[in-house]
Amino acid sequence: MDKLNILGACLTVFATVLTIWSYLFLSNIPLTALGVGLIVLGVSFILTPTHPIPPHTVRALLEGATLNIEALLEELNISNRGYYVRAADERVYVLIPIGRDAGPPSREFEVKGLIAKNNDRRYLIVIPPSSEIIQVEEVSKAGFNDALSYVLVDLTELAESVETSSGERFIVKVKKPRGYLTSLRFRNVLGSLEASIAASLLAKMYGVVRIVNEVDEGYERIITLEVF
Amino acid sequence: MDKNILFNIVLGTMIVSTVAVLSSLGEVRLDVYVSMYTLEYFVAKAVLRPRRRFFDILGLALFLVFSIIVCFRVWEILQA
Repeated sequence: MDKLNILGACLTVFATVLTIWSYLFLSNIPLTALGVGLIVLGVSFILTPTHPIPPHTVRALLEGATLNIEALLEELNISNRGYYVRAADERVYVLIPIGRDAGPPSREFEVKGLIAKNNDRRYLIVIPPSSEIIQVEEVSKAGFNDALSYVLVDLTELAESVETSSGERFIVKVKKPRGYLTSLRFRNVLGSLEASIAASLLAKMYGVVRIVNEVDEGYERIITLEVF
Repeated sequence: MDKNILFNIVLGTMIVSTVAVLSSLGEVRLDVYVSMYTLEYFVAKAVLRPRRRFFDILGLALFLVFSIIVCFRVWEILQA
């Protein structure tokens, strides 16, 4: 427990005494109301996490995670666009076709090693940087728009706001994206960080997803996602 | 400034201002004060979106109290 929480606890105790005293013995409603207000404030202090992981740190960790994948893709000279697939263990993987892209993989693949064989096709298995973030409780219970907004706006501050629409394809409009990727091959294969998170979330809900394209228009990034 | 700290500062300012304004107007109904606190809490929360250590029990408590106050008011109107 640190200073802010101790302050909150002291304020709550003091305010409780003030409220009871001013109501029972002084019959002073404004003073009672002040006591109630201070109880609200004290509890709010207690509920406030004092050392949350700053969003820029989460962002930096995500950006750092892309560098390993970038190195692997460079080494194997892979440049096909990957498919985000929810596996039997409920975790999302990116399956990148090796050689010619012959369409999306099925969800039944064995997560063993780096290469998966699926319908006589070979795929490189990569765990996307956002694979664990999308497992948190706030995200797993929410709908696509709310979950994406929580991760991109609140948790990582990768964007100012997010808007999604679904039709034949899912369109995600990310306002003022802040992700900074130096990994060009990562961006070509797994998409930008914002697109990768959106695709991971959608894959967690629908199974197999691919980023069709990403277009930057002024302060907005428009991401098109296809569900198979 | 950290938005969690900012939220508490804004909330504190709003609560003290509410008490100052309403008491200067001679308001003696406690439910008016509590209703205003509830409104301010949810407005500040919607705008600043502070993080919470665990489930927001304060928001739930304020909402329940506010609901009870509204129910009483409606009941009073129906009785009149």
